[in-house]
Amino acid sequence: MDFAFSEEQLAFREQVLRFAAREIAPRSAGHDLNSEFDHQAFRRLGEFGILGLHFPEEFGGSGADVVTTVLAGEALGEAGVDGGLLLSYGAHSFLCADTILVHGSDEQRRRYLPGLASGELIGCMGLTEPGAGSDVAALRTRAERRGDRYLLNGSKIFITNGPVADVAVVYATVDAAAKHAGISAFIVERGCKGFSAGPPLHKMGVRSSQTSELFFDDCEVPAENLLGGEGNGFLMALQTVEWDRSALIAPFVGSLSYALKKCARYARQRQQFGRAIAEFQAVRDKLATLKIFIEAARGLVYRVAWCKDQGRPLNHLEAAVAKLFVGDWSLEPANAAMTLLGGYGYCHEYELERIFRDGRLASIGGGTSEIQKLIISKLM
Amino acid sequence: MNYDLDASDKELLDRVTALLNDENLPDPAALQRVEASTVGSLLRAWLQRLGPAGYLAAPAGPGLTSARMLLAARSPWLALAVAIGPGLLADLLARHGSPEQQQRFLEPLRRGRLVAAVALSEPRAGSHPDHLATTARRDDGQLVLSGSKSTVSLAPLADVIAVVAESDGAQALFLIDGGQAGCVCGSPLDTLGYRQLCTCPLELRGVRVAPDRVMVPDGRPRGGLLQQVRAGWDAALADVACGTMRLCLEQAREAAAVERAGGKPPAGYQSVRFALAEMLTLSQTAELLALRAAWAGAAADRQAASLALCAKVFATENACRVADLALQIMAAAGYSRDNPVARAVRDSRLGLIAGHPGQVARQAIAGEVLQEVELS
Ligand SMILES: Cc1cc2nc3c(=O)[nH]c(=O)nc-3n(C[C@H](O)[C@H](O)[C@H](O)COP(=O)(O)OP(=O)(O)OC[C@H]3O[C@@H](n4cnc5c(N)ncnc54)[C@H](O)[C@@H]3O)c2cc1C
Repeated sequence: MDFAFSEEQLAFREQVLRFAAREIAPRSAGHDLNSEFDHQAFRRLGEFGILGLHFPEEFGGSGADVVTTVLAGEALGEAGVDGGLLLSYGAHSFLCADTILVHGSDEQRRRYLPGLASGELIGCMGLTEPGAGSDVAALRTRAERRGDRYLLNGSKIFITNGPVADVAVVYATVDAAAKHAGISAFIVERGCKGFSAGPPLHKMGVRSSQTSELFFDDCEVPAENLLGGEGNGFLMALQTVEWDRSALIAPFVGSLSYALKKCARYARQRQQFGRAIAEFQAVRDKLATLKIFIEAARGLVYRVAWCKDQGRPLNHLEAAVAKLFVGDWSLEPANAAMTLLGGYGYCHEYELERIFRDGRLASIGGGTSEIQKLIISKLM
Repeated sequence: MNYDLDASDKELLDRVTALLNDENLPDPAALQRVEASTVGSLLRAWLQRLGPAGYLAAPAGPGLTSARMLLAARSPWLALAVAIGPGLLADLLARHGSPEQQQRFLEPLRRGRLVAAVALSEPRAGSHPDHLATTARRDDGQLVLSGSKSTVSLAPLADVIAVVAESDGAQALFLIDGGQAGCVCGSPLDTLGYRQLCTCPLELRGVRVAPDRVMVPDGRPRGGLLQQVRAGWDAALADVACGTMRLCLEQAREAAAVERAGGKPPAGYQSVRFALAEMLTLSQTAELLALRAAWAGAAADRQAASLALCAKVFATENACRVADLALQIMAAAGYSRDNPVARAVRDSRLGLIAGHPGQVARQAIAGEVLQEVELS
């Protein structure tokens, strides 16, 4: 066993930390407050090479392994980047772009990946529907083949990047009676006839990421935009959730490291009853709660990444364990961090209430904690 | 990065697995009557087989940690007894023992020929034993130990007891024979759990110790020896807590699958399945953290001490949670005194208290965090 990162990985992590702390994180508070997507920061992530980090070079990426990719995501969180931008990056790079990378034809990859890697194109993934959340197989959006195109009808909800996306990977069924086996994925471009996005939803957290409904009203999608073949969508969606449960949660673990540092600094400086609050046992206890959670979570998140790097197929159990742990066991440390700063912790300026709000999504998005428990109890 | 065990670690696990399947060895999990003599013969039988299997000579690291978890999943008390008795003394001897002491004690310990105990805690020096009341004075070329220790596990069974005491302004380890003149074991304490450890008070009434039986860790800050004993306990408790979680999960899973009147096994209910999922999640998380801590210690990683404390706190706290969940699933069967899960519920409480007690460990973890912020 060896839990060390390589020299190169650590050096890259440092670069990401510095870059993000200097250029991205200072923009987070304003965008979160105004619930605005930060186009400029997103493009900078692309220019820096984050968005397509794990894509092959020929598609505008760096060919990084999964562990490095997850490490970069964690570093973004640790630099203080808000959960909204991090979610937008995750939905873009993993839920949308990676699906094209893994299942797309050469033509599809050439057409979309370079733009997705640079940030010139923004991607989203539409799976959830008003009547099909946890029960993905119940999705109703239909895709009917009509000559050289498919006609899509239906709607999606809670779609990250929906209002700003140029490219959407959309799941629809070509045969509702076949349930899972009918589900297929399509690449739908912005401006495509019959395709529209609703206004951004007002959310508790991850506010700088725009979340909306997507509508398909006899939406015409060229047949060559079918992704991975008819009926393969369900398995493809399952594959993307591995990313959901490693690369998408790593930034939140990083955010808690950011919170821990902030709390520790505050505890040293803040004086009450004639001494630094760091001297009070109850305050130190909160720091320990954060530290223990972070270290426990890291072991799980990197296990999923490492398994993916080994090419071990569909690591559902490991992925579900990581997702469940981060989703459910992060509530106490996130709350502890906010409480440690007293009244300031409750104020936007000090960022901890944002981390708390953003992190609350971890047990809901990408499969709720209950669904993770279902998966674990089936596989164990 | 590599989450798989090395080949040599896997071989160690295979050898331990073979012992666990060996019907000629007494089943430690079946030990019902807890008398020092019964426990002693069972412990010796196992030590004599664990020695040749390489378990007692395995260096601290993921291999030993995995092997301990495996043993603890069958018998938490046996795994803990081996770790905090012979295992801990072997570790201290390897670090501080003279070549003669290593020859005399370390080799037999590693071969499984000696039962050992380590005596540290005192009635008035529990969580902060910086200043021990047990002292050694010089007399006629020898050292004479006097004082009392409050809770010494395995003392009534031990061939050798390592006593931590003050001597010439430093803390040192004194290796005395079990039953040596002046060394008096009190009756084993009526403990909540881990009664097989036969934990008892120890009176040292002028025990004479030859100088070649004293280990003085040189060049170390005061308290270093205590830290090492504590750290040894912490690692053992973390690993055993992980094994306990596996044991509870296994028992609960089996019980949940049994069909009940009404035609539905407990696992047919979502709340039972979800409880099992929570147990598995906590168990895997704790194991990974303990393995990472063991790796960090072996690799002399900067974070090793902090990770070890995190692993100890996380594993021991959650072993209690997992044992409680298992008891709930097993219901009346789990509530029976000799059921492994009922034992786990009682035993796992020790993890919160021994080594660095939870609150003390948390303070130390926070201390490291605060120091890092100061440095950065
Ligand atoms: C900010 C945000 C961003 C998102 N981004 C995307 C995105 O980009 N793309 C996308 O496709 N989706 C996205 N989602 C949707 C997300 O994946 C779903 O919200 C999630 O899967 C849960 O579905 P639901 O909201 O319909 O809840 P439901 O499935 O209706 O669940 C409601 C409650 O019932 C529980 N429940 C359901 N089934 C069971 C069961 N069998 N056993 C026990 N309990 C059960 C759930 O755990 C939950 O507590 C996003 C959601 C949010 C909030």
